[in-house]
Amino acid sequence: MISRVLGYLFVLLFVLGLNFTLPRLLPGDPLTALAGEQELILTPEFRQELRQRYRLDQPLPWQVLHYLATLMRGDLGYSFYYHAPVLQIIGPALLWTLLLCGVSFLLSTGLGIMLGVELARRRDRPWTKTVLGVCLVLESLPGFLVGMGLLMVFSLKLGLFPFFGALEVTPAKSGSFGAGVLRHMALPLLTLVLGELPGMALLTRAGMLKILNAPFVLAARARGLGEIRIKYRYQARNALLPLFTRLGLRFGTLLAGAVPVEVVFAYPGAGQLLFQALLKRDYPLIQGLLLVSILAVLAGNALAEWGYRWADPRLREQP
Amino acid sequence: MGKKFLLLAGFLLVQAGLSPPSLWPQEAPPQTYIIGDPQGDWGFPSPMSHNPRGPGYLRVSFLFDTLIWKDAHGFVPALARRWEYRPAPPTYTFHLHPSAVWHDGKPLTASDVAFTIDYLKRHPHPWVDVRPIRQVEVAGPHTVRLVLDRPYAPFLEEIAGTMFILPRHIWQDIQDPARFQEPRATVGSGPYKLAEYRRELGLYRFVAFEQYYRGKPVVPELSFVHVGNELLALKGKAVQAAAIPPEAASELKALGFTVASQPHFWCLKLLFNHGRFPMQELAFRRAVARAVDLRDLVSQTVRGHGLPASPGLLPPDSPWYHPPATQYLFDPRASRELLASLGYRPTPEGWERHGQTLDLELLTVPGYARVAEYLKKSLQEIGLRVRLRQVDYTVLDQRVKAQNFDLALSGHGGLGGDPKIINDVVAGPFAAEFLGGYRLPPELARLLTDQLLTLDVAQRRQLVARIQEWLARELPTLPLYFPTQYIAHDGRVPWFFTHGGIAKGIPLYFNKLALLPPGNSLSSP
Amino acid sequence: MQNLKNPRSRLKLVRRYPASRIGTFLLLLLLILGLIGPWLCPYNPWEYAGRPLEPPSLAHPLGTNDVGQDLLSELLYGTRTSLGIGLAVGLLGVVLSLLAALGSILKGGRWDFVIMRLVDAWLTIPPLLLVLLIVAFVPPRVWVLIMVLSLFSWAGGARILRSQALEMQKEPYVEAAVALGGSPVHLARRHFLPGLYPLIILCFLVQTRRAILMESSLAFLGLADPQHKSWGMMIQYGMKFMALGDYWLWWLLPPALALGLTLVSLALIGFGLESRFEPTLKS
Repeated sequence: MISRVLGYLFVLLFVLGLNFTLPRLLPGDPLTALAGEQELILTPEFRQELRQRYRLDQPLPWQVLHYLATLMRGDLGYSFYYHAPVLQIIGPALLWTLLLCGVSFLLSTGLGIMLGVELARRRDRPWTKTVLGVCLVLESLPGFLVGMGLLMVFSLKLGLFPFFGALEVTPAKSGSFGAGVLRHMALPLLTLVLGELPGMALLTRAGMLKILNAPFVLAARARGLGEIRIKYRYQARNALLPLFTRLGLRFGTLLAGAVPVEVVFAYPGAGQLLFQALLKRDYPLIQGLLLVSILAVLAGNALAEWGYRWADPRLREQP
Repeated sequence: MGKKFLLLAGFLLVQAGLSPPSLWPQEAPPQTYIIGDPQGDWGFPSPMSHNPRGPGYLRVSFLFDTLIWKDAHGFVPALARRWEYRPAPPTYTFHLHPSAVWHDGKPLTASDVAFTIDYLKRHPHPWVDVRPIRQVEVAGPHTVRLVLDRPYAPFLEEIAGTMFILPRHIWQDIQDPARFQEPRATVGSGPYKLAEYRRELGLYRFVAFEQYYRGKPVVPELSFVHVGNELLALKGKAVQAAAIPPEAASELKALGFTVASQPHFWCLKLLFNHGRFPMQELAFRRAVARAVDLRDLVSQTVRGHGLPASPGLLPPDSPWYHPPATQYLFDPRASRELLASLGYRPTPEGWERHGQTLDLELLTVPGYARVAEYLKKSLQEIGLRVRLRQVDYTVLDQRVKAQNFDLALSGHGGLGGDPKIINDVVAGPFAAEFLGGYRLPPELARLLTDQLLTLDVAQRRQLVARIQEWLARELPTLPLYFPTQYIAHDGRVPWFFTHGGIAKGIPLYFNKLALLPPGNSLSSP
Repeated sequence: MQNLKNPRSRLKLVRRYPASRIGTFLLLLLLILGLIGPWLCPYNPWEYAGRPLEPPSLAHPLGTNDVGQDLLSELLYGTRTSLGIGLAVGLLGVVLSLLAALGSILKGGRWDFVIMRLVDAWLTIPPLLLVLLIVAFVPPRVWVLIMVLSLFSWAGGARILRSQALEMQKEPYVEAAVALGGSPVHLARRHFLPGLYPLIILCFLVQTRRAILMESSLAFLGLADPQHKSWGMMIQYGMKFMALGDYWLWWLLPPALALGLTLVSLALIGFGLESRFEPTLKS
């Protein structure tokens, strides 16, 4: 248990260290990222103000302390480009991403487990091989390819779904806000689910195959329990327990996979924001986003582990 | 069983796509006009926190008015109904519109103007430099006098035509203007009010301000929104206007869209490092100018979507353009002669002088790689060895400023507005950045100062023409071309090309005057 | 466990599992294309060989992109880049995984503990996020990409290899070798490695596949080496013109197919091998 916590702490420190050192390694003056070669010419006074705001003229140890102190306060910095605190910019975008990823995760996990169970139990049926093949193909394809395909077919050619955004720009009647959100979310959701579901299914299938004919299953059958009950309470549960933490890790993969998908669909989530920030070299925003996402992933993992300990009675007594 | 669930899930998703039409607006109702933008967010739309680049300013311009504005022909009244100028001391008197009100209903008065100037002196804004104003006198509720310390020709465009007037009753206690991002900060005197701003969507939703002093805008709702792919959005009618890549122009025109090219206010230049030999020699710079066929460069590298540049820097689209007599026609032989005149000897490896072969490094950002390669090829034709180096633009800027380069490709805009821009890029603190350390000859320096003081337009035009002639002769940098950018819209709104660009010279198409009831565009007195 | 040193038994392996067969075939095809590609190419992909946005013709079988570069040449050069980076990362990653696994097994004790905690920690973070962070600041050159991608792919392999090596450690012949006082290097070479070969190949394939996936995702987001053509960048540029006429057919589809086929072929081989080592997984 302690070792787990230490592990998370190590990761956190590593990421913080990265966040602090990387921008200092940058060649050139971060302020020119704003002035660059754009239509505007910044006056020297304005540059000085920017320099003071980002504390670029202080000695290094002071900058480290300042960095840590601001993080403690919850201040993730100020975005060069958006003229607003990073946290404020990340907020709404992160909500959209959590909505998308959360629903994708639930759907792909639930459906994936069900599919995996069936694939394992009915492995002699003819359709199993085809479905396995499809799963393998889908799992290996990058999200942005699948997304682009869906965008072309359903948005461009068939006109069923919108091309960008998360909700209708023109709020029409009340009650259509939800429908608008659903509609905009449909294709990115489908893309992410198609990417994650096969992996879950294959994982479940592998676990199931190991215990399909385990003694406790035979015992349950002998007691005359119904097949569905056996399937889920006995087989699936025991097959999945060892995989619980690995399932939890997949949330991280999903979150990372959402970045290119959001770009394809111009979905205004944290992934799209990161892409824009990368384009504009908005370093405070890049760092803030990555820090927050990694924290989200760590939190998810910790939750998964804690859930595993709770769910598996064999571990409950252990510290 | 699992299969059934999968089918069900799929079915549900398709259902989400096929809900009843009442929840399914396929096209925006005719009341709304949506403009698509590939970048999305341009900052919170208040005068003190918008993104310092053009599109940021543009969005605020719908919410806030300035003293005067511009239409297709020149200056027109805005908050000031009329204005006068008195030369001694240089004073501009503005008579404000008596029916101008703020979005919250309070009347706009001269004290708001006085407050704005005072506030900008205390909180500098990247766009408006109010230092030339020495004193502000409020001569009545709707009359304000601005006294300058010396004649300042760019005043009308750069200050009166760009400075957003702030409501005193809202801003007087704000200490940190950039972080003031509450809804109150968007209360202005412009034709639209802010209805919704969502940063992550790049969404700016404006609704018409009924009590606007020039009449209620014709389009009830105007929105800017981020689009991933502008062509998809236009074709799918999700937006009504957007900037488009040049290749799409003909297809969109065929589909019935109105396609217009934006004025050429941005220039790509070849910078020379004036601290090193031979770049500091005029003969060398002229040799390079003659070695490059600008017309061919445009046709090869930007597919013809650009204008070969004038050596005088200003584009033909600028009202101050004057074609310089000195032109550099493509003549590789003359190039070679010029190089030889510097003491270089042609050898199979390149040009040699004092036992060393001339070998130069050309810095570029990945975006202009093609131009750099074309230049390299052209210079190779006259036997000049050039190495290309692609760097990030922050690195390029840094190296140019530190004068640690030979040649570099860099560009900037603002070339359509007041010719003060020439002063900004040729003299002053930015000369190193934009000119590679060129030292101004005293006569050119004098011309530049004079042009700021000359208020008579005809006289000033002559001065600016002479400045362009000087630049063409001296060639501190080699302007290469002005890229052409296109915009497409469905023709519902009569957008027009603002004379000299919006405000200080923003080459964007969306001037709010196009949305007002007709009969509003009256040129200046 | 079969001894894979025997080439005949290796062939038998491939023949028995059709998934591996198809996968290997596809992969070999792509590898060949990647190697001889530059000679097949009619043009240098950096040259502005034709007019921009030309549809396919005899001169340009896949047409040209928006600056007039031949798309087929871009595709073939991109094959080199993507496959090259993928294989390099796979190789480097597997070597690192092996070193970590064997190192922790042979040194044992505290080393083992530390390395495994490191591995666990490393595995919790999705690699794409960290790679994005680093590549945003350090300009993406090919060697930087290879190093950074390897850095984030050795962890998974290390864990698998270590658990297998742990099992092997219990075998009597290994215990005997240890008792006889064999040096760690000798133990590694003569006793552990031969048994680990199949898993090593599996790890290599998995890591190569992941690396190609990440490289193309990075390229799609604009973070690729500008001096090398890449499938991801082709797709990114092609997306701009997706809505314009039929360009997507010869601009987007070929690199998408190439990328998809590469990844699927690697996955198939991997799946075949996995089935072979876990008999319970046989379909």
